[in-house]
Formats: sequence, structure tokens, C-alpha cells
Amino acid sequence: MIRIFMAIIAFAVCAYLGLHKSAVLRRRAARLDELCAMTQLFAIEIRCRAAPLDELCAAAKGVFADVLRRNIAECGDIHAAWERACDDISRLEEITGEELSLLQKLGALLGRSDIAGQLGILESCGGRLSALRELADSDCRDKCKMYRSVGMLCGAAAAVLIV
Amino acid sequence: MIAAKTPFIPPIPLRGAAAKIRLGAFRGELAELRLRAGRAAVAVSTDGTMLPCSEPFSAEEIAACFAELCRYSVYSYAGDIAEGFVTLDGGHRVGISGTAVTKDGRVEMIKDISSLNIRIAREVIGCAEPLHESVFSGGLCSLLLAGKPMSGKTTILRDLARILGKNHKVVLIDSRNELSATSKGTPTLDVGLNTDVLCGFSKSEGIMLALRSLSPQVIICDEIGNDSAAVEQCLFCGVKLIAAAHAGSLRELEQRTGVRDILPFFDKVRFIEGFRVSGS
Repeated sequence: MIRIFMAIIAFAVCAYLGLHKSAVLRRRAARLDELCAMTQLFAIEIRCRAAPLDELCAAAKGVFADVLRRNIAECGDIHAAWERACDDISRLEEITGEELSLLQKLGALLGRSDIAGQLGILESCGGRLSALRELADSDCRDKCKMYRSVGMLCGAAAAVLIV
Repeated sequence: MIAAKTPFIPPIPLRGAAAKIRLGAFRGELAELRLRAGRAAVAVSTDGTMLPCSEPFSAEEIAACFAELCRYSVYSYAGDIAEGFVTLDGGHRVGISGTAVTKDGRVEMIKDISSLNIRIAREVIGCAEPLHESVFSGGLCSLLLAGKPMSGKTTILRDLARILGKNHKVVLIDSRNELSATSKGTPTLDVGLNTDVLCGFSKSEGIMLALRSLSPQVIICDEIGNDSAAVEQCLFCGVKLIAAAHAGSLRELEQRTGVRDILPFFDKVRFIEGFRVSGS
């Protein structure tokens, strides 16, 4: 009885690890997609009507934009709020160093120069984020299923061995 | 936030500076707030009294105030900043001093902001009634209002727009968004029922656009000068023009190159000082 119980636990743990790893990859692709959409929105709105940052932040969608809006409501200063939002989302498992440093760079430079300067910054950061998103998409396609299967198989193997 | 005493003026977004500024000893109505790097802020009342009202501001604090006044979006105000000002919601104008960044001989931006002069917009409903009575009792005519800075020209022009806008088709050319304080397409100050507002247009462009497409009876604009071609077009089309210009006397008015050329086109000239009107 104890062996069966332990086998179930071993299967559940391995399956969870596989599913979790797969979910992290999917979430990462989704977050990068949101960040790319946000930089595109900023570039379009700045190019077409020089919309100020507070309006852009209010219009942006996604987890980072939600965290940013919450911080803006708390501290008012968009640059400080952006820094705090970067700190907040750095705790997310799916956010890694490169996109975080891109976001920090973007936050430090946004709103501080003329339209040409802003578009240049957005193009450079947006381009790199886009490349990261493509990488995350391909990771998602190639590895999501594999992690799930490996997790399940390892769980099943461990369960068999224990039993 | 700093709120002027008049209740209809919205607060000015200056969280950082507001913590340092003490207006407790200030008497009267706030007309200007001057923030300068390395010196205390000075509150100026409508009667000209000046009162230091803070500890000295550092250059970093002035830069932070500037960023906040620009809604952290310098690019949104780049054109205005190059001209030396930013207009806030509510029509309050912030004059900027600092170091010019030039390109091809033209000022493109101002960097190292050293001082900010926040002029509180005032809406004095009815202040132009006597002027309206005296000037327009015989019908519409073209009018030039002249006065020194801070004499009340803009406030009177806004009230004239409100009065004339009740019964006439008025176009208000609000280059700096001071007259109408338009926010997201809606004037936040009363500029009249039949008044169309052209925000951010230069006077010449605004006059020509109004003539082409808005069929106005009266065009109103602030601080005119070097716009003689458009003024001529306007007055030869049977449209009346009401404009303001900086000048303390008729002599000064005649000596200003941009204004001298357009002076003959106006039917009447009035001089304003502290909302008191005089002139021919």
C-alpha cells in the first residue's frame, strides 16, 4: 500500500515538473508577445500623434502593463513606476535577464528625447524583443510537448520502479 | 499638487515641488510661481507682490519638476519646448529657461532646465463686458488689444470669445492652448456656444484654415505679429479679427515690426492694464 502511495506521489511530482516547465515556456512566449505588442503600440502612437507616456501606459495590455499601471497609480512618477514594475516582474519565472535589461533600458530612455529619438529606442528594443519572442515561440513549439512527455514518462518509470 | 486659490483652476501636477512649497504666508491671488535652480521658489500675486516660499531647489529637483510638467513625455511637447513654454491642462503656461540645443541655427530643444515660470490661467467671467459694450455696440469690428505681459489680454480675449460666441460664429485660434485650455478635444474654459477652437495652429495657418472651412464671422487670436498676409486675407474676406499684441503704448505698438504692418487693418485699438481698458 505504501509503495503504491509513493509511486503515485513520484508520478505526480515528475508529471508536475514536466507540465510546469512546459507552462513556463508558454507563458514566456505570451509575455514576450505582450511586450512586443506594447513597444509596437508605443512606436505607432508616438509616430502618429506624439501621445504622452501616461496615455500609452493606460492603453497598453499585458502583465507588465498591468503592473506598471498599478505602480503609476501608487507613485505617479512614470520612470520610477517603470523601474518598480521591472523589479516586480523580475520575480516571474518566465522573465529572464535579457528582456528585463531591455525593459529597464527602455524605461530609462522613454519620454526623455524627441520623437526621432523615441522611435529609435523603441525600434532597437522592439527588434531585440521580437527576436527573443521568435526564439521563445520556437522553444515553445519544440520543447513544450517534450517536457510534458518526459515528465509523464519519468513519473511512470519511477512509479513502476517503486512498485 | 499645487492648487491656486480660485476653485475653478485645476491643480498643477507638481508633486515633488509641492512638498517644499509653503504658501501659508501668501496673501492674494496666485498669478505666477517661479522655480529656479539654486534658489527659493517665488510666488507672485496678481498685484505683483513677490514672496519667497520654499527652500532652494536643486537642479535635479527642477529637472524632476520639468519632467512631471511634461507628463514624462518630452517628445509630446518638443515643439512648445523649443519655443520656450509648455501649456498644462487648464491653460496654465510654464515658461522654461535653460540651455538651447540648436540645429541648423534653430532652437530644437532646451536642455539643463534652470528655471520654470508657472503662470496660472485665470478665467474671469464677465471681465470683457464693458469692452464689449463700448466696442461692439455699433456692430462687429476688428479690434487689436494691446498690453504689457500679465496685463490681462488673454483673459479678456477668452471672455470676449465667450460673449461673442453667444450670437456669432467665432473661431478661436489657440496656438498655445491658453485661451480654451482644450483637453482631449474639449475646451475646459468657457469660450462660447458658437466658438470653434483651432488648437496648436500658428496664427497664419489658423486664419487661413478658418476662412477656408469654418465660415467664421469673427476670428480671435492671441499675441499676433508677423502674420500680415493672413490678417489681410481675413479682413478682405469680410471677417472681423480680434487679436492681442504685447505693447504698452501706441508708440510701442507702431515700433514693433510685425505689428506695425497689420495695424492699419484694425478698426479699433484698445490698451489693457490690469483688466482696465483704455485707448482709441
